[in-house]
Amino acid sequence: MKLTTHAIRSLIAPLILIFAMWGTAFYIFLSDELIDEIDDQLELFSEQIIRQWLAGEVLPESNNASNNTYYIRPVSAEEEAVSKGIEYEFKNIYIPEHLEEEPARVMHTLFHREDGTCWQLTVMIPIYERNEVISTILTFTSILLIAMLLVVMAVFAWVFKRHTRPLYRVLHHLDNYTIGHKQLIEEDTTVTEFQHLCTTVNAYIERIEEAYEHERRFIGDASHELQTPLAICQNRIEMMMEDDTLTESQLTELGKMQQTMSELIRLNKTLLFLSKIENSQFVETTEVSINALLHRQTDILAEVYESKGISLNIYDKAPWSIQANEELMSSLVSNLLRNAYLHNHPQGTIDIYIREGALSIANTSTEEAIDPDRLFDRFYKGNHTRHQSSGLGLSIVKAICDASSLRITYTFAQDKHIFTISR
Amino acid sequence: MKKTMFILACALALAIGVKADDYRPITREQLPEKAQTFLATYFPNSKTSLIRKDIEITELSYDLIFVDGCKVEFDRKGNWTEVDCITHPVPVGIVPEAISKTIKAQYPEATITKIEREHRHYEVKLSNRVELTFNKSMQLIDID
Repeated sequence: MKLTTHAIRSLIAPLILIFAMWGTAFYIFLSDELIDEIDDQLELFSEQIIRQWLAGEVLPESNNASNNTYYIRPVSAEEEAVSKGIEYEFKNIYIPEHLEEEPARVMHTLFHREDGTCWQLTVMIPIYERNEVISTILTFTSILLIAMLLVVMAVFAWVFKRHTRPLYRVLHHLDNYTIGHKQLIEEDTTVTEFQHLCTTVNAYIERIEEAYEHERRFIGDASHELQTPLAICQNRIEMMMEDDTLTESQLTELGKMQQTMSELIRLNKTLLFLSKIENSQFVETTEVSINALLHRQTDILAEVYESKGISLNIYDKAPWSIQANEELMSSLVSNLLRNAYLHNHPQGTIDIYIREGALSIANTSTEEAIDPDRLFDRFYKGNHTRHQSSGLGLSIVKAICDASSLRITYTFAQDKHIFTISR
Repeated sequence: MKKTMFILACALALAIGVKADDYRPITREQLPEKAQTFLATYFPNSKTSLIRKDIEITELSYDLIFVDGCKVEFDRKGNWTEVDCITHPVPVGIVPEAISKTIKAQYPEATITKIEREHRHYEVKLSNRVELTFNKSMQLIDID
């Protein structure tokens, strides 16, 4: 789940809760306030009536246009004793204009006349409008709060996204980062945490690059330094073999030794070549026709591996030429083809497709699909060691592709291992 | 989280608990002392019909109605804010001297039936239904 989504999700519940409480409180306040307003009216009305009645003035019509009604009745001493003096209640009263009962707010007030007798004034105000107002308020409050919730969410999402942008920049940078292509992150932020993150990531990139560079130089230097002693050693063996005094068995041993020596020299050369590619020492580029290169290589290899009885099909769909180093391209194609022959079974097939921008080589094999993550590792030979493979062929292919900005993909389909080189 | 919920619940309960408005009948003895002194001074023989305590969120006041329909209002401390005697003249001592002088000069026939004391001014109603407004320094500023 994305960070923004996560944050918003954990924000929704408390916000809904707060808003619901807020809405409830608001609603309760408002309906209370409405009742208070009516009570105020009742109070003013009853004060006016009590005073006019006491002063002996003319009282207003009991049932005037406002629908306010009242009546005054004497109260016994017993009743006075239990009454609270001022009482409010909700009651349904009969409204003649409506010909039916309507809810009303009623106020009872006890007061005394000069002769000491107690009287009760009852005033009533119909409140059917109040109920309508309250339901309207309820609807509007709900709509408003939901709208507010959405707006708050939207604003939060926007703000959050804006502020976490540097984080996504760092992640994107790390996704695109490959060892050997040193590229540091620009510290384009004022947020301390993100600055820290950038600095740390940059420091790690530097460290990795340094270690990588170190390793690369070491392999290059080592294989370079090994060249001369290896060559001398081989020469010595050759010279020794020319000695007539050697017995047959000694000669055989020496022959085996020389074969091993040759393998060692070949391995060393491959390593040197690999490190040269990685050090970008093949700089000159020319227009290389992949089609021509392929035909040339297949001619040679078909002869070499004739004994395996492999059928080769080339589907030359379209010409493909790229601007690259010829030696590298040649090595690339030859390594791929060699790979296809070497890991094939006798009477197998090799299908080659060339189109504009892509070359696919598919071969049958006794082996199952290979782990694509380890396939291009140096000295990775899968789960077999019987072939005369150095384990460096596909590493070279990968290195050449990286150096020539080509892409190599491996798929396993219909029992065929397919390597595709594309632009 | 639980703590926050508790605080919110408390706030809500508090909000609901505060009843905005209330009228409560009280006895003469429950009035502030100042108000009782005022009544003893200016209305020594009048019987009360009804005394109410008016509680609002920010204010507290007292209304008193006499059996003849006269009304007196007091503020929280017991200072009078309104005396309304409908048709009878209000007790003489209540009205500030400067005001009663001005009224005697301009309306010699009339009596003061109602006087209101507000924050910045006095409002006086006369028996001839004229309403006068005085400012703090007892100068007449409005006639209605």
